[in-house]
Amino acid sequence: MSEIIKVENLVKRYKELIALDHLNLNIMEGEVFGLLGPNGSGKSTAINCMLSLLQYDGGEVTIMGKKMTPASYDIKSKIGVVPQDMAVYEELTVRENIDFFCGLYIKDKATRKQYVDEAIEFVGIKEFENFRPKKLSGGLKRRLNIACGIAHKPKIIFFDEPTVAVDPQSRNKILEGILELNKNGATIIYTSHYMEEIEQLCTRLSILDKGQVIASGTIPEIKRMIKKNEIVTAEVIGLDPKVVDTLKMDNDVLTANYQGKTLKVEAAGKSNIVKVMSLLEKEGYEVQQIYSVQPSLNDVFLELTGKQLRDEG
Amino acid sequence: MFSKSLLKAVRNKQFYFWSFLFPFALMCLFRVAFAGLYDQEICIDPIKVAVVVDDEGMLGDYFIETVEALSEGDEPLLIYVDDVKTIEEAEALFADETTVDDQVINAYFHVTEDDIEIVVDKAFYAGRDEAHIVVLRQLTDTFLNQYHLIYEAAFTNPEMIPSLVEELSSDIEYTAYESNVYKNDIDTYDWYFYTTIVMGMMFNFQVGIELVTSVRADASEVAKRINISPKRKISIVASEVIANLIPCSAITAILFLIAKYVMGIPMTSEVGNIALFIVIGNFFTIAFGSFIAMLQKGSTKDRSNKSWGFIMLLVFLSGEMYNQMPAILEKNAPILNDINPATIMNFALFDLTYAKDLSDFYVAMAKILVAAIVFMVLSAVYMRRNSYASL
Repeated sequence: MSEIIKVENLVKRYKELIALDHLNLNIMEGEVFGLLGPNGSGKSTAINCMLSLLQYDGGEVTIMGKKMTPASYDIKSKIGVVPQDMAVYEELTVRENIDFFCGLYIKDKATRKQYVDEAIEFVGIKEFENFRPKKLSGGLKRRLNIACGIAHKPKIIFFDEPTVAVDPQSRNKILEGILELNKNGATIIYTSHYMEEIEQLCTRLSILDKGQVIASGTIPEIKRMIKKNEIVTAEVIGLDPKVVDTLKMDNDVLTANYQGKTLKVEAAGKSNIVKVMSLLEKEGYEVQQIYSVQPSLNDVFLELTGKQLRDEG
Repeated sequence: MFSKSLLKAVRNKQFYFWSFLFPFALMCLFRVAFAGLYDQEICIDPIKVAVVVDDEGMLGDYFIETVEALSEGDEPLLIYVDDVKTIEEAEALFADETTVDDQVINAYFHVTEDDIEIVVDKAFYAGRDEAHIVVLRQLTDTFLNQYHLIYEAAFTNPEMIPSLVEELSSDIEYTAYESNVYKNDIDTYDWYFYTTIVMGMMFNFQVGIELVTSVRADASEVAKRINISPKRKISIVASEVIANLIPCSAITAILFLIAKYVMGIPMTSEVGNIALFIVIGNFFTIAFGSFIAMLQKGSTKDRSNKSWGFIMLLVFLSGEMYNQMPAILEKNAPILNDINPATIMNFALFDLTYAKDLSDFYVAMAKILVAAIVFMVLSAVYMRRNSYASL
């Protein structure tokens, strides 16, 4: 895979505030690249700078081997954008909106009609094509927003938090659609503060905090950056605190807590579930349920920054 | 793209309210409010009056002179019966079975030492609406006010009297139209309809604001999409301007037709000149709106809200709601008339209907067109493809 977008030392300041602090990104052709970070971490600013919508104070953005500027018409013709907020005309119907934005890229009427039909079909809003946007539900509006950004079949598509305030059904539909676009050859740049979406979609990602990349790589690579490798959760009644202390003495165990009837052990290394199970059985406890999970990206973020990636689920 | 821009413009409900419904409602209001007065001024019959003076003095003498002056000419307001000297003689001439028609008077003025009383024949009052009584009262009140002013000045500051007389005369008619310039008789109430049509055109400034905010990436989400596209901005701006000019011009044309054929307001029938006025006028207001939007920040709504006050002020200063305003400004601050586009367009429309020589109209149109081009060029530079400091 060749490099399709390169961001070098990008700096963006708003007076005193540094929104992007020497940001570096390398996005490869054909991948789904994720930009993960809490609200205000600089994800949208990074995208707007990459698209030459925002002036930046330092650094360079190269797309398809060429420097990106406001007048890079040849590059722009290959880009599609799905912004965070709705970017459609209330006066036009669903079909007319898609046709209008597709018309900014595709001159030929017949080709455009075919593309518009395909985009409508792709996002599943055929039966609403003659509706005005205000008549659509939140999820359908999002799908329209996506259709307007992808109808011209761009090679690179930027999705800036496209699932904010969307119901789970529409969210799944949107995520499936993004994967399909990627399968069809588009390079996807996807920003979100929903780590589940990033885990589900992205082949590689960068985690942003305060305008800086704090981690970059594939999801397993990023997870390996932290000590925590496994979280073992067991349900056991009446556990003696001494057992918990014994667990804490193990070199691999990072934390061990017992609350209610749940024992939670965070540990480095592997096969910690066996260790926990063996100890509990040895001490004569009946384990009702035990399972092990790998750390999430939120755990990664928490360990790297000392704070939660997001407050809501 | 043009067809979608046209659809957007045609479906913009807010545009219909401000550019059509509001001016139309105002025109209806003017018609209802002024139609009665307007018609009565034309149809009013001369009122046959006598003057009874109690005391020999200046008030009686001057008032009789005034009544005599108003009884002269082809279409006199009054018919003065000068042989009545007492109240008894006057009341004997009120209509009853014994009086002969041509000897009847409709009212008499009873002039006392410092006041004038109006006594109207009951039969005359019952047979007419109040316009005749209003005319008599207004005449008396105006006379008394001016008389007392001059009388007081004679005692306190006699050298002021000539300038006071001049000032009072100009107060009677501020708008000094040169009658030989115009083809027809001028009715100042027509002015309200012309200013309302121009007001409707001025309200199209919103289209200009929407144009800017739909192209500036720091003003709307849609504009971001447009900026990211490879489409040249100049073609987008041109397409939007032409697409919006069509419904704006159509709406103005409809207001013209309503004013002319429904409201009965005198309007020229020179279609070419009307089309010129409508197209250039609307192009100007769109360009002007773009220019105003350029000077502000924020969304369409933010920029529009901030601009309304300014546009309303221009419209008010052009004579909407108070037709003497341009004349007052001409006297005290003529530059405001010269730079107010609403006033320039009002006078252009007035010229188009009334002037024998249309050169002033063409000069006004040229001014408006040049201003529109300047504003549009400035706006286009402002809307050029660019990166923004913040979004």
